[in-house]
Amino acid sequence: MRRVAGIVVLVLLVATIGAVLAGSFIDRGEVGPAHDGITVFAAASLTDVVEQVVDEIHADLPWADITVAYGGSSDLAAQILEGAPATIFLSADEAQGDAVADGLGLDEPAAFATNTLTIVVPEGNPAAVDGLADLERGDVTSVICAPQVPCGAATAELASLEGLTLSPASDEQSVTDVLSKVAAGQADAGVVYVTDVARASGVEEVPIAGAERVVNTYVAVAIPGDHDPSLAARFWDDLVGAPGRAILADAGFGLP
Amino acid sequence: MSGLDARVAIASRGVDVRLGVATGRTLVLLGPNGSGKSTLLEGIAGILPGAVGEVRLDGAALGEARTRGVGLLSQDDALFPTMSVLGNVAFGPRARGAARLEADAVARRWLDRVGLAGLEDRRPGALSGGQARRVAIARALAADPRVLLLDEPFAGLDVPAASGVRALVAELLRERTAIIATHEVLDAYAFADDVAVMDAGRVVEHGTASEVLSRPRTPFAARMAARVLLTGEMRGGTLALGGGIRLPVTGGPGAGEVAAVAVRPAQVVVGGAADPRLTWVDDAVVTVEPRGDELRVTGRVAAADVDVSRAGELVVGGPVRFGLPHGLDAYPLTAPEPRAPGDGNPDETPAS
Amino acid sequence: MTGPRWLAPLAVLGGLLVLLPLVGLASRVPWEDFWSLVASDASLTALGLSLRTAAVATALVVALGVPLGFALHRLRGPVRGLVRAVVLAPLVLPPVVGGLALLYAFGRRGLLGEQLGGAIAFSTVAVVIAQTFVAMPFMVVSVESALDARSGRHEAMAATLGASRTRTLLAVTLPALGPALATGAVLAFARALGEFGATLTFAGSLAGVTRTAPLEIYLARETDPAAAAALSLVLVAVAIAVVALAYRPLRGSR
Repeated sequence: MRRVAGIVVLVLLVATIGAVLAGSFIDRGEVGPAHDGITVFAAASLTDVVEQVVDEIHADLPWADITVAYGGSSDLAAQILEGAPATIFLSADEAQGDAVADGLGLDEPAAFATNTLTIVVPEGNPAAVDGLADLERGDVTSVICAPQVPCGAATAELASLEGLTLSPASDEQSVTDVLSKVAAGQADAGVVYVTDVARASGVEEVPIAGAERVVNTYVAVAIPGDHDPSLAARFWDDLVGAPGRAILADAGFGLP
Repeated sequence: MSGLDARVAIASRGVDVRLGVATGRTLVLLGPNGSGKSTLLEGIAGILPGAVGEVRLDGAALGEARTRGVGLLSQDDALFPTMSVLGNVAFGPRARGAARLEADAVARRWLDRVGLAGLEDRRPGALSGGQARRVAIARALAADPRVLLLDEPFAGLDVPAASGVRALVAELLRERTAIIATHEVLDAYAFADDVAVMDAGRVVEHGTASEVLSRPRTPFAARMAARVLLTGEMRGGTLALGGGIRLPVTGGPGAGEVAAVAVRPAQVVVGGAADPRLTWVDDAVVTVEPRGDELRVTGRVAAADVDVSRAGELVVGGPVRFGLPHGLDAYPLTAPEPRAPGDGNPDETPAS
Repeated sequence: MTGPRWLAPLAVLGGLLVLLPLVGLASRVPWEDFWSLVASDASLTALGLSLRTAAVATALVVALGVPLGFALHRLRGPVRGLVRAVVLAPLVLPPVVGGLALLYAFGRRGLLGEQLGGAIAFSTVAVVIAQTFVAMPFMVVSVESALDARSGRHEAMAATLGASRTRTLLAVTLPALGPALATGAVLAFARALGEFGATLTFAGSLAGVTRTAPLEIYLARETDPAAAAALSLVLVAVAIAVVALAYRPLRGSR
């Protein structure tokens, strides 16, 4: 009986440890020491652009191993600083790019795209919103990003430049939350980035005059590590170089 | 008719009964455990889901339980555990619209009558079995029921508590319309104006107490009445029991008719010397069971109570001679089915 | 009952899985600033809103969940299993799904229409609705199982004593359900207090109006992880206290 019990414990422990180790390998995308792919951490707003770049690389190099993780810039930065194995970090926020570069002792991040704010309204613009000033109207239910997150900081800055005091119905956590509330018709208007509207459905854009006064800059950070250096260089060139500029412009991004 | 007239049928429990009790009388419903007594009482009280039939009181059909005015003292007391004793007893008056103070006053009066003054603030969980039964009685009566149903009111109590509750019930039931369900024939002798005998969901006998207890018509009813039924044919002042045995009896129908006597085992002798004042029957012992300081010897034909000292003589399957007394009251046994007084058409289909 | 010895190491593993995250959370709290972080305007506003909305949601859960438990108890056969599964769905629904469902029911373009939906949108009412939605199953299950355990005998006796159904419910059944009601209410309160996903999706996030403590933690995480950790710890403490409280009366009554 004793012996059976001992075996049961042993098997369970081995299984547990095995699962833990296997899990850590899978999480890190490390199959072995000679990893020949790259891992890109990209701000969610870059999804379409990065997909296109990856597709073009795959047209040349069908077997190229490119893993992409999308998320909020601050989440991604935090993960990289905690040791996540990113090859390239594409941040929607200069501050987060700087945080990673400083934290890992790397070169200055490279700016490769800009974005400006715009108003998003449900299809048909039911509240007849015409500009940022309309968001002050009592009959307009508006949602913006909370000042604690980058899109909210930019919105606050633009509003103060315009001399406006916005009174949103909700300070949302992210651009996605703003978009979904507008798309669902819960809110009459929201403030997001130009490129976000291009990606969204069920919404229309109402441009903000003078929006270019508050520019959000996208930066890229190359992180040395255990990966395929030529593939990393190829991706970097394709996004930050000429081919990438065309794709970024198509997606509505500005170029620095 | 003045009084209660109930027809209760519930197929899932195999109960189908018609029963009546006249105003002011006490009916003892006698039957073994599992014969359907509790089910019948719940049906009369109107708390038996799925039951069909009709309950009439003084000719008027009764509706849902809360408007019936039929009180039920259940075997498990079913006191409300979240209320004090006073709250339990005051529940009925409150439910009938009395103000709190008035209801409490009624409850105190009843608690006093059942001998529990001073226990008003106790919780039911802190009562002895006898006290809880008394509270349940007080609660049922405080609601001022027109008919009171008591389900095994003395079961589960120790001897002193049971005799106390017996005395209380005897006093409280005077002039009340009531049905007491019990498996003890003692309760029938003590309380009954009328007796109904129940077996396997049916009432097999129903009549006045003296009729049913001393002149049972079926072996089952005789057993419930603590008697042994001897049946035979009348032959000139004697009852011919078969096997050539003729028992001299008194009364009885004319010669040639089927008749019976119901003899108490205590009157039967196990012999012994041939006493000419008795009629002797040779029988075989079926069971021997101790009853206090006596033994009840049951044979195929008769039964007798004998002193425990004679246990050695009596072997199950062995021979026994029963000495039956002469001059027992014989009565005709003609009706094929027992008929309850005032019984209507027994084939009537249940109203759904 | 004592199980075989090999259960012990697994129990330790299980315990660690629960305990370590809590220790990890506590390790990130800057204890010297703990009170100033928890007592900051933003934290206090969010905590106050959470407590208020959770209290109202709990009241609603009692008012609606108890009748629902009774209704479920009355049902028989396969219908009961189906209805129970539907009623309990919010318990197992991913929070975002719950939020979307609420949006399509009570939103401005939801089933209730522009007028009512517009009034609810981004209001504290929306928070309470979301919390009630996710917390009600606790009460329903609690009441249903407590009713199933009852024989109905006391209710039948009450009827023979002349009590109406209402009086029987109020004076006999509900007092007897006391422990179950308390458990259901406390768990519902805890669940309402922790509600995040449906609120975020459905109610929005505005300080003092819809930004409850979990939303405040989520937002503070962006800029002030220390404050997020401190406020998280407060919620953990409340959750543990509430659960400890909820299970005591139940065990005592057995």
